[in-house]
Amino acid sequence: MIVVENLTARFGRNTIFQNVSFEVYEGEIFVILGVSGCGKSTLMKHMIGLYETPSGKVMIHGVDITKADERQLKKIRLDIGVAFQSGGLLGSMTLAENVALPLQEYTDLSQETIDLVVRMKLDIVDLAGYENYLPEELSGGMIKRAGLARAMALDPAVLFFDEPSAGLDPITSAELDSLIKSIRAGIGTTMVIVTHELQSIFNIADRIIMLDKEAKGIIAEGDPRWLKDHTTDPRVSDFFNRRVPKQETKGT
Amino acid sequence: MNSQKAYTIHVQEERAGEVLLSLSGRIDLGNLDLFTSETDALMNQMTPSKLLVDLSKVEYLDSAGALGLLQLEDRAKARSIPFQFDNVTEEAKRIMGLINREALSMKPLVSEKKSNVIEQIGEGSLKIFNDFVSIITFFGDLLIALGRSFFHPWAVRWEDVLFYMKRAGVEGLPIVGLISFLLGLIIAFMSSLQLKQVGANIYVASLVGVAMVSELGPIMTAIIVAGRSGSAFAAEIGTMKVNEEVDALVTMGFDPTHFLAVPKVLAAMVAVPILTLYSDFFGIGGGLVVGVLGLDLTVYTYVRETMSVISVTSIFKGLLKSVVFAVLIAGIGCQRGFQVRGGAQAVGSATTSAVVAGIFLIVVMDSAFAIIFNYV
Repeated sequence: MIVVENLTARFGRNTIFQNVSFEVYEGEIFVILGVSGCGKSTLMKHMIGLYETPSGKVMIHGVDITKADERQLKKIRLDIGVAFQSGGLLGSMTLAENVALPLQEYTDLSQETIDLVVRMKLDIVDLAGYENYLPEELSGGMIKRAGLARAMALDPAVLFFDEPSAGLDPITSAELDSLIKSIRAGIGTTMVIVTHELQSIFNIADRIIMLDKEAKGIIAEGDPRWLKDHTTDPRVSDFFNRRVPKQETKGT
Repeated sequence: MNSQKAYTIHVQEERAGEVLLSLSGRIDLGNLDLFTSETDALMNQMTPSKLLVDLSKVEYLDSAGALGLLQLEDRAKARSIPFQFDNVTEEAKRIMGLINREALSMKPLVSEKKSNVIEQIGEGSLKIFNDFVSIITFFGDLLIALGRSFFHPWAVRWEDVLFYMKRAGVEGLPIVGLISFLLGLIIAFMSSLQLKQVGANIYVASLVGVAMVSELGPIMTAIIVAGRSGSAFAAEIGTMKVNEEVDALVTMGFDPTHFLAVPKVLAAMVAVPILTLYSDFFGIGGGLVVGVLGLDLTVYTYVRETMSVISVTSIFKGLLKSVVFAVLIAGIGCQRGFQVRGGAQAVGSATTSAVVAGIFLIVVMDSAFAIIFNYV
């Protein structure tokens, strides 16, 4: 479904990662994780076509988005939904207007039908009744869920999440996890999630890749629950076991 | 994603008025409306005694398609037609299971906010009054903070003052110079058309001189600074409010007015008078060009005439005005910034308001000065 080949990310003279290659299979929950600063958000933004790359490919449904023209890119964007870290909701519009935006732009459904679909999406993310609220009137968790409802508006084949649990309490975070699982179970959407929240990872991830700042690439790939107990790489083991890495003591 | 019919409905009449609809193809967001109207038409046409819908050949169903099927069931029930789904695939069951039909007809918790004309007038008046109060309060705080800075100059953030002097003053030199020059040019030119007729060319110099130094220099400069820097101060402080930077200052024990507003206002109080002098100079220069090129005056004559009408007092009055204007436009810029609550749109409207209010205050203050200087 998504194939990333030899992707390199560079900002000016700074190389974030290079020659990263992996695949995301249809219908799986795929997690990109790593220590802060390893480039996971950057990787995701490359995968959704927000940044240009000096080298490498990102193929979504067989189309290389790094080389696609405007028309092709637009078609692909309809098949992708992105839930941003702070929601990315337009502050001047109500929740209903935010979720309706892609529907109004890309379908020719009647306003009545759009309102109905919007209410359905809001209910799926547990925000039924909140149609006329403005984003500034909602809590952080609700804003994230509203962002998810909008990302799901066109029933895309793949959903991207940038740090979905950031700033959420454990209960809300667990609720979001089960929401993600139920959407995957119900609609079969492929999910690509960038996070470093361990509980969520062990709870919902099918497969993970771990990026590393120094290695500037992938240092682990596979089932996180297996990796936690069986990996020999200290960096990976420290991460999954929430351990401070052993520092070399100076002087002695 | 236009409504292309990607599905087909095969209609089969069974015994005793029962109707079997075999759906095949894709039922999705794109053709939801089509599906709804087609099935509605079928139900009206055939008035079945029972409706069976076979889903075995449905290739693709998304959440909107599932919604369409469930709505079909509801509409059949509303017409008292017994309804049944046949051959529901596992996938279809899962998607339809995600949808909660009660939620769809639920009333929103908060209705769209609509108020009638009277309420709106009342709300508007209260808003204006409260706005007036908060402006007075802010300027009171500002003047106290400025007074304190006068007695405790070491407490002032001078690096910030220098930074804003560069922004508001130095970087404004090109535009102020250009506009003043053109203004002087235009006044001289327009007045010369009349004065030429009575042979009073020389008075162009006096006219431009007095106009620039007493009124136009201070006002035009202040308006330009309001547009350049008043808006910038509002946008900067407004964005800081949105990013919780102002909250951080307060919790660290800093006074935001002293920390953020005083440097900007002090910078304006130095930069605007200097810009005003500079504007006077360029305005007179513009008039000079017209005088020499269009009216056959010599440079010497023009300059001598200009200097004879401009007194030190008039320059001083113009500078006094410009200092007051500076406090007003920098002050209102900061005040609008501090008022920002919310996000991008709030910052945008604060910026606009800073410029409009600034210009308004300049004009009102100028009228006050006219009265003060001439009758007091």
